[in-house]
Amino acid sequence: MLFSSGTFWLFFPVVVALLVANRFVLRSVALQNAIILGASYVFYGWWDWRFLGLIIASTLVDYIAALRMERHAKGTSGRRRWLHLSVFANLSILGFFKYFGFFANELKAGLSAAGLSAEWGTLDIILPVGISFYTLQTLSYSIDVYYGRARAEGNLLRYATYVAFFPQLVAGPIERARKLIPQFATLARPSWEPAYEGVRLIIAGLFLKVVIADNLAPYVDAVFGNYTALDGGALMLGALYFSIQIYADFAGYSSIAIGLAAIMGFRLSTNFATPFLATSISALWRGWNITLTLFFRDYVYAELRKGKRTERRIALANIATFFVSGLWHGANWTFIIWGTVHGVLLVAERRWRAAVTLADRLWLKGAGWLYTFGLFVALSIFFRSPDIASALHYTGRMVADVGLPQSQRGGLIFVAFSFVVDALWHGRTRLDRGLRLDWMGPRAKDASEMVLFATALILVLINATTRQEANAFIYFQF
Amino acid sequence: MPSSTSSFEPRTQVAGHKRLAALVACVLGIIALWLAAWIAMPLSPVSSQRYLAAVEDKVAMLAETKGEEDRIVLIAGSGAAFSISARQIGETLDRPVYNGGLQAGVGLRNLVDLYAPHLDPDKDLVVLLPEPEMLASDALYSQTWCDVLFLTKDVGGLARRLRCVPNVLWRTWQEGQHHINGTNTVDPVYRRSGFNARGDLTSHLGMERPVPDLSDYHHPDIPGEMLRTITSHVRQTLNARGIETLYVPAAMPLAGCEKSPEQVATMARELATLTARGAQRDAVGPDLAPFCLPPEMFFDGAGHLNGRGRVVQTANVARAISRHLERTQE
Repeated sequence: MLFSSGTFWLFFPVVVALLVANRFVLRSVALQNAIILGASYVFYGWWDWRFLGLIIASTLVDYIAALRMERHAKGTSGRRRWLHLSVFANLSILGFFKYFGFFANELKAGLSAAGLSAEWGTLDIILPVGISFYTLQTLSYSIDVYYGRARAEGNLLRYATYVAFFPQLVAGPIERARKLIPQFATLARPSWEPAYEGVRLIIAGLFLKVVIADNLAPYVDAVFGNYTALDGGALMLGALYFSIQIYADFAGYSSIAIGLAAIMGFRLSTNFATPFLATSISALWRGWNITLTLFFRDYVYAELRKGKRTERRIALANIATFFVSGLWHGANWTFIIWGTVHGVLLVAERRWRAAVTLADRLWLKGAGWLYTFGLFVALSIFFRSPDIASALHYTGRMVADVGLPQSQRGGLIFVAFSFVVDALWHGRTRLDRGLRLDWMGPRAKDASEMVLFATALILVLINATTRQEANAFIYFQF
Repeated sequence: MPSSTSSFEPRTQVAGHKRLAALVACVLGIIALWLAAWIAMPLSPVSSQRYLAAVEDKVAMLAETKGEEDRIVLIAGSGAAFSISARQIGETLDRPVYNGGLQAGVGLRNLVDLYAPHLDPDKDLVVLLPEPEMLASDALYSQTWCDVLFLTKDVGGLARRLRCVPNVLWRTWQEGQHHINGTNTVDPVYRRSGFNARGDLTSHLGMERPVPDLSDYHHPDIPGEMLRTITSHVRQTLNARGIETLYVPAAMPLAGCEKSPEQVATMARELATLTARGAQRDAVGPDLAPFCLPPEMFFDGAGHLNGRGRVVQTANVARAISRHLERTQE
């Protein structure tokens, strides 16, 4: 069920109505969680009911493993054994569904190159939607319990609700147990103020997704599907459009997720903070898919960096973390290169920043923005291309035939829209401070915000209804 | 690192529910202003002269000729508009015949509803010739139907079909752009002025086009439930008022008839029950062979016939009506 589909907007009010009825009539926390869990399973099973088996299995394994871990003292082998079981189970699920085909093909290619016969059939494995997100969430829970950073949750219903909470189930924000589980231990208090902010976040998210990302999609498809026949300028636009598309798509999803949760009376983490206004690669990553970046920082980078903190070790940990991040995005060398190069850039930036103290000058900021955004756009070619050869060919043509674009310029209006949204936004997938219109004075600001959000909603409705089918969110494929 | 929490602290003294109500009012206000612009703005030639704008002419044609003795009204999509000469059938049968064929995307049920007030139960015979594509995707809400509401500035119709509001807003926006840019291009085939006084489209007849490749054509999958919904709607809207109806198959590419003969026959059998005078129904499906035509007779890949094909299909329809009239007079 897509947030931008009509079905979802019939489903969601029913869930909210049930929660409100429970809040005022029965006042049962267990019933509240049962409603949310049931709704989450309906939401998830809407894609394919068979996916439910995986999420239930993942939930049960981590629920049991965490409880067993707590029975053993810190540092004991028993505690470690249950952690290993949880990590193994989660990575096995992820590995089988997401990476089996990739590694099988790579092995086959390697054996063939070595002159060995490698003939075996392929399995047509469907990648369950959102598997990469909820397995990381459950993994973080097990690791936190192991290190004593979170308590094992004894209430299975509460824990299952944490894993399957539908606003953030399929594409994040990836929530830590210690932040979200306690919210399911009490009766949610939906109230008008968060509901109002939630509605505005949903409108902003739908605008990013339906108006910007979905309108850029045909341009991106046209350029990447026909890059051999287009001029360098058009190819440059294609890469720019894709960068904006993926940002608007994912930040839009996060905004809607946080807004939906707010209406239900729950708080989710900020996931985007205007990354495309960043003036360095490290700043960009502090604002891009924040909860995922924090996951990799806390559970991969922190582990790799343990021991003596030399520059070399930090550099290797950074590159290795981004290698894993690239692999997480997809079972393809293009993603691995995309991630690893970002890691290398971070390391280079760290060294460069150590050598040169950047003054707070406008032209330096401008240059920093150009370098950051330019590199992100250039690397996004690898993210979008089906294989390395295509990505290199695309990049080669783009550089060799550089010039003003002769076609595909229509999408620039949506790029402009995206930067206007970012400029107005306070830099978070939240709106509790309103838009950057304080210079207008409170009354004019309120009125302007009202008109802007109302117009955005109307544009969303127009775009959604005049399009034949709702487009899936890009990050669902990861 | 940025904060990973969202606080949602109240930022002003105005309560959330009042702000929410104000937002809803603002949305409704902007929509109302936008719709007012729709009503006030004259249609540019791009809209007023487009093919679908002929809907007004067709309704006016039926309204003006209501009460004519032995009138025959054809209802279908563009297949009938392009592929049948009502004028020729009228001369053959010596009866007034009008072509109400418009566009499959409008939907058969919407088209029947649109024409129903202008049909005379005592004097009219309604001939239904829906194309398979029209049946496969018949919906009360469709973008084409929303376009009809937009072109006819039908506020009442829009109130009954609120889902069309965003489409009308979008069309109004485009209309404003046409006015600003001074655009007035109209397709040489798909244009309102391409219809004659009997509702036949003639703009394509003088044009030579290469024979369309229909070898990949597949008869669309029409769910049985859809056919029953459509037939039930026709019975309630027309037959219940005493209006006599006759089903005649639309022209179909031969490739589709050959690839899925069972599917085509099942559809025709179900639709044959639309042939009714009062409570009597025809349970026997028509002979489909004459309606399955080779690609040389098609004008394009959308099921529209060229001049040669039009002669054949016109004769097919005239023959079917003639047989029906003979049967009912016996």
